[in-house]
Amino acid sequence: MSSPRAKHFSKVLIANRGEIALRIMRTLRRLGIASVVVYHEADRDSPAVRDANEAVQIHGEPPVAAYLDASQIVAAAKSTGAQAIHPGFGFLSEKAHFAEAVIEAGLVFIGPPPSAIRAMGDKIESKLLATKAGVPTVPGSRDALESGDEAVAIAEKIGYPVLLKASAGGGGKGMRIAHTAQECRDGLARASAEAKAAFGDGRVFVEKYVEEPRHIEVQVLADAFGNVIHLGERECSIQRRYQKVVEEAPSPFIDEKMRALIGEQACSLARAVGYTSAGTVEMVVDKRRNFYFLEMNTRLQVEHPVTEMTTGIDIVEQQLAVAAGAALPFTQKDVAFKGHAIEVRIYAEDADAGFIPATGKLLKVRFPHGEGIRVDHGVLEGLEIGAAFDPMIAKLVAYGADRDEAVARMCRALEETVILGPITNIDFLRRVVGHPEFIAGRIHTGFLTLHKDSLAPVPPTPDQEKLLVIAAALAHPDFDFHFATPSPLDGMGGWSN
Amino acid sequence: MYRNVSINGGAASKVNVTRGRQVSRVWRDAKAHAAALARSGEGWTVDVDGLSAEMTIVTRKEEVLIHAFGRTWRVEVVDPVERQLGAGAQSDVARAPMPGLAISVMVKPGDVVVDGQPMVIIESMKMQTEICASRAGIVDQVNVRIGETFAQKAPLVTLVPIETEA
Repeated sequence: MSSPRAKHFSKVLIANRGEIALRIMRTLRRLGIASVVVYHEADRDSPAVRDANEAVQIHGEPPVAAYLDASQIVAAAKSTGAQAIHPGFGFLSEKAHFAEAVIEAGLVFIGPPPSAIRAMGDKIESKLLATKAGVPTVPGSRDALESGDEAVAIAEKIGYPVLLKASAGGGGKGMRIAHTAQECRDGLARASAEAKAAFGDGRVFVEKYVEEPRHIEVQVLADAFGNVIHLGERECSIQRRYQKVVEEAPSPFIDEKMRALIGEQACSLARAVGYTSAGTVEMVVDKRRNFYFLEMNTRLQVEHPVTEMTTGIDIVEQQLAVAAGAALPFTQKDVAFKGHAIEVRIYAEDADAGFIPATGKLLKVRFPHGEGIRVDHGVLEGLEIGAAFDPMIAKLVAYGADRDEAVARMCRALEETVILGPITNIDFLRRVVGHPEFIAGRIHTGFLTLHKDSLAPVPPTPDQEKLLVIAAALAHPDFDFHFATPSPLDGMGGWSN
Repeated sequence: MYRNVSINGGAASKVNVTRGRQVSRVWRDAKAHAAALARSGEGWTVDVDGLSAEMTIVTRKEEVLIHAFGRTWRVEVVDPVERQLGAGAQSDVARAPMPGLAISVMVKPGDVVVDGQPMVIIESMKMQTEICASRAGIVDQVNVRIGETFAQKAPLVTLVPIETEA
């Protein structure tokens, strides 16, 4: 499904780092488009910088500030002659002012129009738009809350538990669940303070907290000619701290009829906001399959690979084509869904100690391969995982003819993945994907908390323990002076340390 | 000299090794085993009393990281004498429980703090956490400024005891 007009660009700048920079580069290379990356000193030795056709250093302290500096990035695009900028995800990808700065500089922003980013970036405005487009929303306050009394009054009307949620929030920042009036007042104050500190916008609204919610989202693609299609749904219900850990397509909870329904709803919303490029309409689905609009992410998603695996469509390629002014090369009925794909996010974190981020040097890295396995990563042995950026190391994707095959391949792939150095969540992910309730598709956003006990690590068997302890002893240099070598010099060397 | 060896924070075994040219003798809790560790492709093969397994192994100072049986294991190898000597001179340090970013620093050297008083607010995992004094004391050093990032276990604030005898 190649679209020759995407070649309109001869050079594209990627305003991102790590695995997503490499993933975008892969499509650019296939289409014969030169790539430019911007990088902070801390990323100098990364594969993204090594593999790009050109790399421009940008500055900032802390390092994340460099990737948030629109003017340095636009200047890098101008100086290298890039015609367009792909923002990836995170950083500036959903900042309307960045899209505007790119356009004002005479460059193309690979993403939706700034007006659509702005409208969808505001949780209150986006909810109003969704309602107007006929997409159901979770009952709650229409406007930002003015006081704790107002929050409690609304909460009592819609019923506890309620969720206090910052207008500008995301990824769990500025969010609190409340079961009582007191929790409601406290939650409002905390969420507001957190959002104000993080986003400079302390507006908070309250809504019904959907219990046992499933997170299901629809991928849409739209061009500048009014064509809007969807690429089906992804289920991302396995989350920790409001962040996705395991994602899959299709959702085991959705049938064809419902897929068509939520797909059409997502498309109407995209049309209502004049959307172009790739976007994701996130929904929360309750036990009875009622679905409510959550938010629209106006960018490429971390979990886009599962959709690519099940539709055969390269989403980055379509973003490039649409940005270059091409029409979508296919219609809704051309989109065929085949098989099942699961993605897990490998993080440097101690999942068993409350998902505490870990840091350290990657001493040994070996990724799995084989049929149906895709690994998107941006790391190298010897690279340091620091605290300056998100601790995601890699995304592992397994595809199968059906969900069972995808699960089986994912389990094997996780067992074969070797990352030694910082603590990672690989073993935890293996236990999640191999959990009987996950295999049965009985999942919701509280899955990891609900099954905490059965997801705990299993101790080694006595034979495993014996082999591990003895292997460690034989590998450890502390025991070197016990070498049964008769040379007196060796003996002295040993005793001197 | 034996070492205490434990897996993933579990109970420790007392281990000692007498290396041989091919087969070494390993004592684990006073029981002897005939064992060998040999290169095998990118990893190692370990043989113990007729059992064998393929492993990927990385050695650090007090820790051996092993990938085996489809999982990752952190095996601690600790010199019990060194560990005991190191434990004595612990000053009162509030360490970062996780890597993150300081978003608020509420104390400065010389401040008197009470038990449980918040001293620094850090942001990590997109959540804010208060770093509180673990006892009453006087702030000696503040090693982090607003906007600075730090690694796990970084000493953020050090306290000295309040002198009660005037």
